[in-house]
Amino acid sequence: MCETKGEGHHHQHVAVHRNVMEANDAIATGLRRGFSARGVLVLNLISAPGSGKTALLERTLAQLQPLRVSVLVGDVETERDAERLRRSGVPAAQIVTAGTCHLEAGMVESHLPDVDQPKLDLLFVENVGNLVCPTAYDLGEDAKVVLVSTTEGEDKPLKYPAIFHRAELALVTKADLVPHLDFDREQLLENIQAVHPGMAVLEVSAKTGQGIDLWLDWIRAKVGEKQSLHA
Amino acid sequence: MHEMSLAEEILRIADEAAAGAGAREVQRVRVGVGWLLQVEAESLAFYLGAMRQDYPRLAAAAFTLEEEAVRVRCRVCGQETVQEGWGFSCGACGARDVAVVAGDRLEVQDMEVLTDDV
Repeated sequence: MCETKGEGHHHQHVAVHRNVMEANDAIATGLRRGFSARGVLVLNLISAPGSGKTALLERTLAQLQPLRVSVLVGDVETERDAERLRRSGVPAAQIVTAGTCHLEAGMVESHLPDVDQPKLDLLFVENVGNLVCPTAYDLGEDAKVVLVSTTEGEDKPLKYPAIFHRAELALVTKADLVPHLDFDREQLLENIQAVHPGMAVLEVSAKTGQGIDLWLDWIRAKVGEKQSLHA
Repeated sequence: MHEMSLAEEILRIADEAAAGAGAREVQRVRVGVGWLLQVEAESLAFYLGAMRQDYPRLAAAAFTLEEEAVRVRCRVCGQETVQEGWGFSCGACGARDVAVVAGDRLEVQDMEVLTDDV
């Protein structure tokens, strides 16, 4: 701190150097510690609105038994997604953000008791449909999974590079629609690799079940990995 | 809307730091904006300007948003280089095995404040 004398006041330089995300990150760190102590895997699903996050989960949840799974789903308004997911027989709760375009760690913390269960293996957090804002908010997850549907175009990774760079896995959804679209699959895969060299990519269809086995394998391997660390 | 949440946090941190320094008035706050975060600087500046009124110490503060370039350290040759655009690779040897070491944070860096004479 350096000071200069003025008239009746001091002019001071104050060094701050504080991360703007500090409050969120502190809660996320606490969540991560708690999940790790219990061996719970947490996956944060991020995509644009309408990429098929909820449809994919509907397809996924039923097939994950005997794993104990819960879901938190964020939306700007309505309880519709949680209602859809509860039909799969797993505890699911809606986080209505009322205008906020992303989930924050504090929202996960306060809604977790709504879906928590003894010996929980896996918590899915379905983020608010948005490719920019959710990227910056750590929710205490083990991995971010980004979804991009075949109807969105090949250039999504180049337009929203931050999420493709940070996510561990990319799911190309609505793969069944490819024959009906002017969709350049090779170009999309190339664009993903340009932003995140070596990124794991799975092409899936919640409608036909294409690629779902590989997605389930990926999840089960991650759950196993997390539980072996906990044991 | 993302920028509104960020503005709230910046104001909270700046006000807390100003209180800690015994400041009467904050004149300038410097914020480092990592390029990787894709923060809309114009929108962030708008919210800071609109919401600073809620904090008496910050009501006349000017906010300087400084874009911070992305820097990567190469895991192959060990060099640290500035990253231009997306498509992460080492600026020295071209290897793609790099770690981001700067440009991925949003940080309240420092402030110019006025304190009362004691």
